[in-house]
Amino acid sequence: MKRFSPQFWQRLTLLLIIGGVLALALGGFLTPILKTAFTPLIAAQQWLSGKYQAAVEFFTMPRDVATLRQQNTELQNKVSSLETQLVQTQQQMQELQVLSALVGFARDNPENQYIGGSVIGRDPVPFLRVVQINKGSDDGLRHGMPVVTQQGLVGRIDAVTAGAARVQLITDSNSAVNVRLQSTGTEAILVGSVTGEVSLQEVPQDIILKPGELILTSGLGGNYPQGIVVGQVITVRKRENDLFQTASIQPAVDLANLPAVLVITNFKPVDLTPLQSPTGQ
Amino acid sequence: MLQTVIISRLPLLSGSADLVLLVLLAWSLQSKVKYSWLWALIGGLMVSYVSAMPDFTPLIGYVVVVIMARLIQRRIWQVPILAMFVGTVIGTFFTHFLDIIVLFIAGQSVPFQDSIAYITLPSAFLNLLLALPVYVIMTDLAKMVYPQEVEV
Repeated sequence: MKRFSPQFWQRLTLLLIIGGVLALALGGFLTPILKTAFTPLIAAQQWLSGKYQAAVEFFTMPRDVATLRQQNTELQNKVSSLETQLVQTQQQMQELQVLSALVGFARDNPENQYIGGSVIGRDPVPFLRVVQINKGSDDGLRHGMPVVTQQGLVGRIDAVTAGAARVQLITDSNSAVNVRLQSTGTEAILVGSVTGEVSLQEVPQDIILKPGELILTSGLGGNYPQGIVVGQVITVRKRENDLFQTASIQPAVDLANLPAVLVITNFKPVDLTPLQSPTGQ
Repeated sequence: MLQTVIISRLPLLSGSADLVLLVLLAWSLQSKVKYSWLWALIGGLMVSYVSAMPDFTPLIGYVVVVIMARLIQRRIWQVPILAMFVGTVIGTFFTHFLDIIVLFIAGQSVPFQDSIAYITLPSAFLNLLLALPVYVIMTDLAKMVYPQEVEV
């Protein structure tokens, strides 16, 4: 019979110890010991992991900040673009309101035919009260056509090209409009001046002019249709020694801020030149 | 276009600045510019076409102003900005007087005192305000168009 070597007994003993420890661990008898042994290891691993994460963030954060900055810039650009669109929309709303008022005026006065035009500029010479509009002969405009807005009389076409026209305002020093007082029907002449003031001329002394009185076109002379509102009397100048009294007039239309106008195209101004004698009388 | 669309819509009392006059004046005062009269013709014709003033009045006014500017430039060459201011005042008064005379001949009533008080003086003030920036811009433009020669 062969005896077992000492090495055999050592290995067997080792196996039995390992098996016993595994059996105890599987049985749960070694849990408190394992817990006590692993707690410091877990703490150390946690500490090391935190340091590692800090190092990773330290090297990756600039890329995140750059991305955030880029996104911020894109958003700011988008906000600026939206603000621009908002301003444009507001301007379009204002233009729509002006055009709606003109359309409403045209509908309320169906006896006339109108062409709308935008005011695109003013005369560069300050002595003249003339504006340019973006409609011309291609659109049917002709010299002498009256120009109005929903508020009242603006002036008349002074010169026409294919795509634009010049409008002489009633405040121009060369402008003279035959008008009448709404209350009494008295006829007079409305003239402009180089300073832009409008005055009523040749009003008989026996007529009582009151501030606030409405002035309308009379239709005399054939330059303007009758019945268009021109303005209101502001102040009256009456002197006993004068043949006529005069008055300052506030135009019904704000001629300093004129965005758009209507041109009356079915009114033909009367040309009195053939009726005048060669001597001009 | 700037004149009719923007400048003329910014009045002071009844006067307004004349950008075309200032540009022509500033360009004429540049020492290296030789053909400023040509630009006066072009500018004058364009303004005469747009304006309701009779008989090429702006054209005549601008040509005379350019001639005057060349004379001023020879006399006040050491202080060009002063020449610009002097030319602005004289140019404004001359063009406005010319306008008044032409309108009077055309049969329009132009009260002289009201025209000076409400149109010419405010226009001169506005022109003086714009004179310096216009002169600076035209000086830079002249340096770009006529670069300084360097001897090697």
